[in-house]
Amino acid sequence: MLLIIRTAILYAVTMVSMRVMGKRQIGQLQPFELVVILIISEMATMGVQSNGTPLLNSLLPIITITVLQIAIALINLKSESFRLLVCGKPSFVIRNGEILEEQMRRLRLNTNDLLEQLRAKGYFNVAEVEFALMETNGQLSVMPRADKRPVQPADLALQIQHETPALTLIIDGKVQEKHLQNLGHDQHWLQKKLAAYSISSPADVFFMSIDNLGHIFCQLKSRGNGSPAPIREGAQTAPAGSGHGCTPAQANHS
Amino acid sequence: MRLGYNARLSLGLIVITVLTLAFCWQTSVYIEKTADNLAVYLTEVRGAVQAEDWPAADRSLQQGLTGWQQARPFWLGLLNHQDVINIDLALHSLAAFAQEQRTDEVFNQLSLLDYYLKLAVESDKVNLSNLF
Repeated sequence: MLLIIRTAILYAVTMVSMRVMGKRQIGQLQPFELVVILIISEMATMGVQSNGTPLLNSLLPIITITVLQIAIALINLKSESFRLLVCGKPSFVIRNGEILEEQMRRLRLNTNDLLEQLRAKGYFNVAEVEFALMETNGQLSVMPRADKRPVQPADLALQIQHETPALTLIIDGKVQEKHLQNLGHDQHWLQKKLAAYSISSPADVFFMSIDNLGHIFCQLKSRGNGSPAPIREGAQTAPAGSGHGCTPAQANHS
Repeated sequence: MRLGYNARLSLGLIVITVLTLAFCWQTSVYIEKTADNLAVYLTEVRGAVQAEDWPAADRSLQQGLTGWQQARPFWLGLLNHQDVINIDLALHSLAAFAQEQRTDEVFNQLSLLDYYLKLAVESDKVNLSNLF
């Protein structure tokens, strides 16, 4: 019983600590951030495994490390030289299409590692790469040659409308009021929309979103017999090969 | 004057640091104080046993045990449980030997208790040997 309670406390404290330290901790780890994660997990494990040591022996180090981590992050924000000291700086491994062998040796990066990282970025041919930069978190950033990069609308002189992310309207039956207000709509508008799909209540909806062109994606909750086909209003095409998706008229008919 | 996010965060960090350090200092002071209190009763027990005044020794011992029972839950939360168990064992042995009026064993246990109390206090101090 004690073990369960101690584990729960340490889990909660570690989660809060990770949350306080910010999204970067979970995403792209710098070396000092990786150290923090390792130490905190070790401290939490010690507290769980050994009943004979007080919980404070784990909690205080976790709090200390969290404070230190945030302090270092704040100093990093203000001081470029400190950032250089703590994080280092990114290094080119391919520049102007040329593999920098000396730089790779300095980074202790072998050719196989480089090829592997390039493939992970979608580049199976080194000849297609103009620049490759080894970031401070160990990730490789790649810029392809101009004639090998994906075509963009600007290349074809296309006039493209400004786009914004789709806004969620309903998640798991719960209406996202703020998003509804941002769109300039209200519950009445939403009810009308749902009624057009023969849906009586937002509580029946698993997910509903609207994009900047007014195209709606709506999926009802499954009732134990597989996920129902989503409703797509306004979109000209359904996903290729999905076999799913229907218009509101089809949804009404079903 | 409304402070920026980073300024508030920095202030929050300073406050947490100060509170944590104050808490740590306070717990050290508490451990030392309760250890000293117990040591006082143990000194009284030693004196009473030397004078072969067993009832007085028993009274002082009971007072020491009462004080220890009050401090024990806090010690368990602050120190290694093994340290607390050692003191428990030594105190109970002392009480048993005092009841049987076995002078030599009582003095042995008193020395052991002094050592355990000193160890508990010293292990919590900030010094080079504890750091390394």
